[in-house]
Amino acid sequence: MASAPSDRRQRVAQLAEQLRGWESAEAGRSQQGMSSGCSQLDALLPAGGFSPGSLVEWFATDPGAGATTLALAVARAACGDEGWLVVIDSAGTFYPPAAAALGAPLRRMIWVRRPAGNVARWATDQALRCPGVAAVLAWPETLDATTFRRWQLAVEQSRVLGLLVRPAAALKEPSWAEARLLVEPRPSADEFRRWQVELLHARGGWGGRSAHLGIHHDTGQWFTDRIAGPGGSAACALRVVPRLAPATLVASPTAG
Amino acid sequence: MWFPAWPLQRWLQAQPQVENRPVLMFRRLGRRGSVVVACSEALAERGVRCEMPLAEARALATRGQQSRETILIREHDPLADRQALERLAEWCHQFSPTVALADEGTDAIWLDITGVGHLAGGEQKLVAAVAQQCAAQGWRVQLAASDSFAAAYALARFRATVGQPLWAPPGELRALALDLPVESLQLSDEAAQTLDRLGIREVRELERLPRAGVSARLGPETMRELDRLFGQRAEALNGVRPTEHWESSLEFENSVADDAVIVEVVARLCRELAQQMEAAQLGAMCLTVSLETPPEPPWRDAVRLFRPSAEARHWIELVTLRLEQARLRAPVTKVIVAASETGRLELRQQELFASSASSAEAKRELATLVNRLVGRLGHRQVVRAALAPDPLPENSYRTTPAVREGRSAARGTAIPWRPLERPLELLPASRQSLRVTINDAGAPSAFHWRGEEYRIADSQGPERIESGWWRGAQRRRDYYRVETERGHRAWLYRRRDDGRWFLHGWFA
Repeated sequence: MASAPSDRRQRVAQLAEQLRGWESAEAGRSQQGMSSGCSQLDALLPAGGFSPGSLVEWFATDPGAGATTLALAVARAACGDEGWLVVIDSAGTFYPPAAAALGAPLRRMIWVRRPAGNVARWATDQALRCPGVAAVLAWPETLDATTFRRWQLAVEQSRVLGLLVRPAAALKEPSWAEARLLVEPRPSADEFRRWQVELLHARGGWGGRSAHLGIHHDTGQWFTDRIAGPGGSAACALRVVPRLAPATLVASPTAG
Repeated sequence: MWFPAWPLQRWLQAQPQVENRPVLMFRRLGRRGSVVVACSEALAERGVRCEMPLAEARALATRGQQSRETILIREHDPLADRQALERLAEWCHQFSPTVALADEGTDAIWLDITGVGHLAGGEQKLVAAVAQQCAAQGWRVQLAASDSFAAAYALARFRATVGQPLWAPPGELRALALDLPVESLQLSDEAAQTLDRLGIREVRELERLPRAGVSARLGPETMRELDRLFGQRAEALNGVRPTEHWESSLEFENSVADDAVIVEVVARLCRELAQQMEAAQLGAMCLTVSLETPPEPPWRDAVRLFRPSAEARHWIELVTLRLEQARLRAPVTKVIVAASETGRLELRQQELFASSASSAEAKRELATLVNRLVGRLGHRQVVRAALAPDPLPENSYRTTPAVREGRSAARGTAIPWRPLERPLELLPASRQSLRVTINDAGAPSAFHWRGEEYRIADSQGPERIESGWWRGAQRRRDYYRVETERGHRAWLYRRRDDGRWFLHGWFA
């Protein structure tokens, strides 16, 4: 009977491990996430990247913070050369030329303009459910837990990457997102627009880590310098990833 | 199949109330007055003939006239005649897959019955069946079947009578054709006159003449016509393709006002139609639903689709969304679901590589999504964007409805901006007026927006943007990309006409 406490501890550890597995939306699937093109942003996330079939929340404290820019950069990576992007533009302020300049595929983008409250939720739901879509970019102001949960189940089924850009006020709301990222702008330097991105929460128990990153104003290339975590800051080599956006987009005669 | 006095037949079919009254149809010949095109039998008995001047015909018609009998005189409508003949030709597709129309001026339809006779128990029976069906429809037709199209026409016109179709057994064509009058050959007026002068009345007499002499004196087409008649020359015909009406309808015995019933009926019709279309490898590009609600005008709505689809489930979903918005003023008597535009379905064959199969599936799913979004939000709200060569920010893109896939954003323009040069969030121009502090260099150093001060740490500009003078009211702006001390980035401009500052967007 002496071994009972250690057995129990082992058992508890085992159960905790299982629980973490279940908590992750990627349970039973490949744990490898899709790269956003920015290694430090990828490294923030438990799966080492953004997992298709998950929801990611981006929080910005003020307008002009750049959360949409980062979300769009991730959406672009998720779409690759063939995928379609659906933009649910509730406010009607989305500006396609800027998206094109950032390398978003306009020819493979469905832009839903100014859907009113309920309709916007419905449209987002429909887009998240559609396996023919690679990524959905939306700005839901308020989101009740039931809808959120429904969306999360929908993307697990459809393998769509849902990118939700949200106001800071929504930080208090319950979340079913795979990851919640807080985007805080930092003053530009060396031709880079800079941010500190903090992983507020990730399913599977991560969180509290942050990364500094930047995008070059002229070339659109990523710049990251270090990643900081609860266990201290880990030095990381300077790395400039391949260009984010091609300078020109010359359309081929056939539509995607 | 030759239709004697077709203009008259056609007109009488459309006017059943005329019954047995004598009718005279004429056509105008410019200054030479009008001539008779067709007339009722009663008038023909009185001596009225085709191509007779109208005045003379009228005199003949009224000469032996009984009391109070009026003659209807109508102008000939060649276009309506032709259209009616085309419709009839389409109807004839039930007898043969190859149906052809004669050139204009000849009121005949050819059916190629080679190899289809056995379906009716023999060619002779088929000919009889065609005659019977035509009679049942109220048409007077002279029918003949023969080895060549020219001979069939000639025999139908000069040997067969209404109700007595003629079937020339194979090999007997020559004997029958020799007895035909020379008018049965489609000869020029000149050749016909020469033959008349020579006293040649029958094909037999013409055929006896030496070919070289006939060609020299009557033109080579005379011999060509003769060869066609005997089936010794290839013939080209104007085939009539059956137009495809993809439609499914249901008429109620009693009119129905229950929404649930109507929705169910529409769903059933959708399933029927989708099944038929899928068998033909076609999908609907545009679906039309009509609800007949007499005495009110029918309710109609069309749903456009992103890609050709033959998925009933998907149609029903789209159509139901529209039906929910329908306000019917009277009970429904008839429901029609039609595919007014169709397109080829993408083949659902087994793909060699799983990835391309799944990509086809993904495209279908995407099409379903777009159709669904358009169905609820409309074409204006579900769009695709493309860059437009206009310097003014609010005009530098254009949108096209998302359902017109392929045609829309296909033409791309090279992107003239650097990656972070334009804001992802664009506010309406000249709305967000700002109080801006300017530094010595004339660049903004701070701005106030919604009661908050944003101190500018860095600004890039001015980027001068002007709309073309040819576009009416000219707009001249100096744009600045500014970064606040906290790193937020905004897009401001100064209106050069009055020096006022506006916020145009956020680099969100």
